[in-house]
Amino acid sequence: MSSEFSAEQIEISADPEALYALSLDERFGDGAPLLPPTDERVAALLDATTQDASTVLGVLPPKKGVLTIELAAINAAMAGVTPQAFGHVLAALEAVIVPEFNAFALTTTTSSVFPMLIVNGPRRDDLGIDYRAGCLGGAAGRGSMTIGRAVSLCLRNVGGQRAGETSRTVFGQPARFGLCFGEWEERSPWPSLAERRGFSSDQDVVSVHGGKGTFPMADVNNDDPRDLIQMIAKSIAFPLNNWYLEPTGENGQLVLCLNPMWAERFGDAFENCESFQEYLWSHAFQPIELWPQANQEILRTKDRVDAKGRVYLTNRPDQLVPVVCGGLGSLHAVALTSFVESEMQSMAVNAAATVQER
Amino acid sequence: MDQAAVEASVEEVQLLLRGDGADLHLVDVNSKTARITVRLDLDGVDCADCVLPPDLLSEMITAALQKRVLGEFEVRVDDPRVV
Repeated sequence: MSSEFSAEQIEISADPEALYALSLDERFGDGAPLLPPTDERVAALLDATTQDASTVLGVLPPKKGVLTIELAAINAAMAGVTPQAFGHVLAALEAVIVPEFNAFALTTTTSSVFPMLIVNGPRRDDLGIDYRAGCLGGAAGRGSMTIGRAVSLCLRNVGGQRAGETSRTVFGQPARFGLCFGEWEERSPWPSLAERRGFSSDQDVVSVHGGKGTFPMADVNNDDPRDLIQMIAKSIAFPLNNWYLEPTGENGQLVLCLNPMWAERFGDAFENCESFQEYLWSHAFQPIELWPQANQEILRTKDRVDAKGRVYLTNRPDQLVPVVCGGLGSLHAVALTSFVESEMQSMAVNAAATVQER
Repeated sequence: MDQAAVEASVEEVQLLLRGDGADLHLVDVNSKTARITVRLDLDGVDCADCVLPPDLLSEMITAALQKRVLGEFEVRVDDPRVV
């Protein structure tokens, strides 16, 4: 079987500590223990797709590494991806490679930004995609924990992304280990993220968002949906948001994770997602006086200040993207803040090329 | 969600309500939305205010469910006293 692989092969002790130590020494690991990418594990992943192992998916930045299905499978094996979930890894990688996602900037910038994966579709439960309580960390679904990690390992080992070297990220963020969560579609008052992006509800879809981090918000003081949206709008339009650094508010998205209870409240007030986004956007601004004089001058030079002295976060409502997820404890929302110079991409999992059951 | 566990929880509260002539019916258990819907039946009850008040009833149903049902869920009580 080994002769089928083109990647360099090594032999090490079967002791799990041996691979872990090697991954740290050779720097192909992410600091956490890895599963050994044995011939059998890699072959099982390759068997889960009808695509040939040598098929080139694209080039991964920053070092322009050529990503083949085989290399994706090796990294997915180390991350612990099951064969059933390998199609989601491939879809995520295909989305990352789309030029408009701007993966080169994401993997080299001083920002903390990293691809965050959002999963829609009927196989969320089967694959262990977290979309309920603790979905952004702590829920421990195998799909969530391994799919995101596989993408991260591909960027490290194929793309050559290394913090402090090829990547100038100042802080990084926990999502650089891999962040993958689902939408609680059944609790969304509106069509799912994937449906709003042109897919059908029976398709498994992975969307990638260039997210700078998880920005938490909370409220217990007001039950009025419009009041609450206004406060969310003011919170996401914080004065040091990347959008206020950029030449325009034209690019990028912010993902707003809404808990199911708040989503229901908003759904009662706004019958469609577009009207919710419009209302949110209309309050997502700050008065120019909020900034010190030096900042004001730059914002005015960029023509970011309107006739009423308002500086809107984004140019359009559709750049504020709600996703329903999280637990039933209500009270909280999370913004996955934007790198701005990156456009969200969505890819259907290629069902025809992915083995569903093994 | 474990249907049998939900039914056992509802039965526990039924016993409390039947003493006052009321009843509780399990309407729906939806694992996809994590919602459990029950309906308070006041048919034949002379004094609706003598039955457990809505807030307390909801708390008791939730507590009974939490003893048996794993994970998070939302309880919806269709209570004719609540407009």
